[in-house]
Amino acid sequence: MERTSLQGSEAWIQGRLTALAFDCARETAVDGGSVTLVSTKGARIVCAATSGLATALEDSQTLLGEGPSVDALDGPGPVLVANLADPLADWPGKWPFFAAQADELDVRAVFAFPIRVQAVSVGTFGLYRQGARGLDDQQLSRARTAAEDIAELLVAPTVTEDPGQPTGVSRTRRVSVAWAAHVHQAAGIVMVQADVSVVEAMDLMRAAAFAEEIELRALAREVIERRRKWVKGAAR
Amino acid sequence: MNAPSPDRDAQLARRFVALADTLVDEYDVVDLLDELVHAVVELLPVEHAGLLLRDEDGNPQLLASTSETSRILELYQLQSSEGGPCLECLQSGAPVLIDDLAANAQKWPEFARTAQALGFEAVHALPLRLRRDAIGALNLFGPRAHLSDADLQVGQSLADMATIGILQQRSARRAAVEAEQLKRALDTRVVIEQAKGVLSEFGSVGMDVAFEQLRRYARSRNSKLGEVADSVVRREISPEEITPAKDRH
Repeated sequence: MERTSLQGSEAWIQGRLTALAFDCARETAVDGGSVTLVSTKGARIVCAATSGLATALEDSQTLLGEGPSVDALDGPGPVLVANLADPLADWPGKWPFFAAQADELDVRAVFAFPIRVQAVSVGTFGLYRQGARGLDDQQLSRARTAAEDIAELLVAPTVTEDPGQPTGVSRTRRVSVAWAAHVHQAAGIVMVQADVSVVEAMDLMRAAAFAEEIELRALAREVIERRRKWVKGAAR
Repeated sequence: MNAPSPDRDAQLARRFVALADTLVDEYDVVDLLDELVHAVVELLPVEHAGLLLRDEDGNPQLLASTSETSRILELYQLQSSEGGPCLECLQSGAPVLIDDLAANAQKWPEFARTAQALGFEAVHALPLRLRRDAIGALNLFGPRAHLSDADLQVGQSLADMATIGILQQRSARRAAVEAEQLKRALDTRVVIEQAKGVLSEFGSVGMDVAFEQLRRYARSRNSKLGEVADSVVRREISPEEITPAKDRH
């Protein structure tokens, strides 16, 4: 018998999130969609993405600390930019580094929707488009609905595997950080090598990735494979 | 008396619309219940209505009442020692209808006497039903009166509406708690990965071995994995303590 993911299990949620992102990206005619969750301490975790493009743009916001998803998280509503290069808009000025990164990937329009459960900001739903076009009313409402569906999914009751449980329902929620797990492992390694705090270790990695114009994930990979080392007292 | 009339139908419709209005986003359950008790005295042959709701420990609390007099409160408090129709309804989950306190309340003599002294001759209690349990009770006090089937239907519908409102608010609160837990769980996962990195670098071992060391250490001390990982990353526990000498390279 084919083994399917149990409703509410980590794999199931990940699958549903990815499916939601794919459906919405297709129906709103964009080139990438992504779900990024944000932890209590502010760690950004990309837990679903429809393409490398979407992952890259979410990651670059983690690296740069700016961008539509960063602003949408605690903002009053979605952040919608139909054309990052519009000289009349203040967006490129607002996110100079992110705008440059988007430009390199030929992305012209970016949209980010907060994912909220009651008053709690859980993360953001990002959509990226290579053409300089805004979302029409129908697409906008479709994307809003997707963000609401994601929020609902994240706090839906979990069905456990334990048939002995009379209810079969638990409320333990687990969402994978596997996508970026090695970035955090690398931060632990750099923390020991450079003898700094873990926050400083992450900053060192970010600064290096930014200076060398490589992805944080790629740099983390080098750290884990010990192809790149920090030494105590040196910047790198 | 109080047979369904076009008048009452109109009142009923108006009251239900008002109740539905209080069920919009971010409503306050107190507003809903207040609206409800006032609707009940308008629609049924009763003078006073109060609503008991079980708190998180299961103890009944008076949440809404058409009158604030301390003597009415006494009626509820009395039931905590002697028992009473409202409590019985809460316990059984079934309506308790006493048309005439003078003739039919031998079970609760003190309660009956006090109610009568306040001018009430009849007491009715309708459950706020959740499956077979009652999460609360709608209590009606008034002149000697038999509630018709239509009256009971109206009263129970209002009670059911209150139940829906209360459950909705509870589930909203639960969802918010869930969301906070999710965000904290993400931090736990992040810190475990960071601690793996620390142990891996310290002991020159792979991530799998590092994780196994972390887990063994947490188990041996009956600590949570996330808490141990957090202590490692904050340097409150030295990696030497966790990494067995034989595992070091």
